[in-house]
Amino acid sequence: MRISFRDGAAVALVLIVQFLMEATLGRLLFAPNLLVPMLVYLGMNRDSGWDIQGAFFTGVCLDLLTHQPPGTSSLSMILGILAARSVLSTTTAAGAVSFYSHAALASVVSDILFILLASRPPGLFFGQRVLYVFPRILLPLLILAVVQTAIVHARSRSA
Amino acid sequence: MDRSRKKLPAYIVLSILLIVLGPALLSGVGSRLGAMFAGLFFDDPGGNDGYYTRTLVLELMLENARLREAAMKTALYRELLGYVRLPETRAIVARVLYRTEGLVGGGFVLDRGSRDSVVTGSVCIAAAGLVGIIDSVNDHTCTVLPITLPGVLVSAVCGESGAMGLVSSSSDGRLGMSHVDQAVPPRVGEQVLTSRFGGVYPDGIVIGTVTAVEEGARGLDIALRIEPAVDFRRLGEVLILLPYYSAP
Repeated sequence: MRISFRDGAAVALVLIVQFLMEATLGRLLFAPNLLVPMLVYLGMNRDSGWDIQGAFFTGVCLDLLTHQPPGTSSLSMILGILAARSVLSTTTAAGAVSFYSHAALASVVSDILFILLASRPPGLFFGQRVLYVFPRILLPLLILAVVQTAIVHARSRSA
Repeated sequence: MDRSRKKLPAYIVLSILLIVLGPALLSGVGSRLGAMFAGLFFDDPGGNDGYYTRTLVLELMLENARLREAAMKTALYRELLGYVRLPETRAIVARVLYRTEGLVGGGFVLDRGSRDSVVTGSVCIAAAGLVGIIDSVNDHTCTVLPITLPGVLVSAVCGESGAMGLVSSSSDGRLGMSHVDQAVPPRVGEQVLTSRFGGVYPDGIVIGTVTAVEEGARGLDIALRIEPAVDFRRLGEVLILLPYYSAP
């Protein structure tokens, strides 16, 4: 796996933003999940190593920052991204739709796995808290879709 | 299959090993680093007059809890049931270093550990009331499980009606009291205090206030909604009650 400085810096920035949002918005209601879509994007467009090595190391860093059992985010993100890849490998969706579906499915699986693994004893938090997973995932993807559409629209008008 | 996919089993095994062994491996280093980090921002407690003042204030709070216990008129019941008072407890002040964040959060890490005679099972309180129970202890730090975590159960009694039950939290963090006898229905606004009957918490410590009285899940008891007395979002300083046998 070859990591460009720009990709590494972008992931580090998203990691810090994710931690800050967990510590602020997460206490109020929920923090949007930015890290998994970022890793999915890099895995699809830059280097497939981001799916596994990237998820592992960013997961460990996030766990250390949020004081969760180390390895929990890593395992849930690796399995979430792989599950999304396995399920959606049979589809013929391409481009942006493929990214959004991969990101959404990977985030859902990884967040649910995280709730199962991080609570002590495992699974104790598995209840209404699972409902937070959906806005947590949909919100950043929705904002991204709007921004992307706006950029495409602006470019097509200027062209 | 590309090279990164071949490494998948190794990374999965590594993640599982980290989950299993990580907390134990990190506890020593993390505990020491946490104490060093706290030392950057806070003065040495040993040489600070303010520290002793705070200890005194919090110990007075304990005294207040004991007086509240007397006001509950439970002495008679205790005599009848043959309960014996627990020995005197010693208390130490602790600061919250950080807390777990994310979808599964709520545990607090304090700057006191086994070197300060903290043991697993010690009760943690704040000025407003009960915080929780110490779950794990390292050399310099310990972790508190607050009563707002679903796994923590507290034997409780209502201050005025004397209704007894079990305080616990649902997975969404809402505090409630279950298994309350219908014969003594509590009122909204009544204080909920810890009860000695659980054998873990000293009695008379405020848990919260009753905000709603509902029918229990089985229809044979009452369930209460409780507003915690402690504001867990702004928790900064707490008092750890040490069992008599752990005091140096």
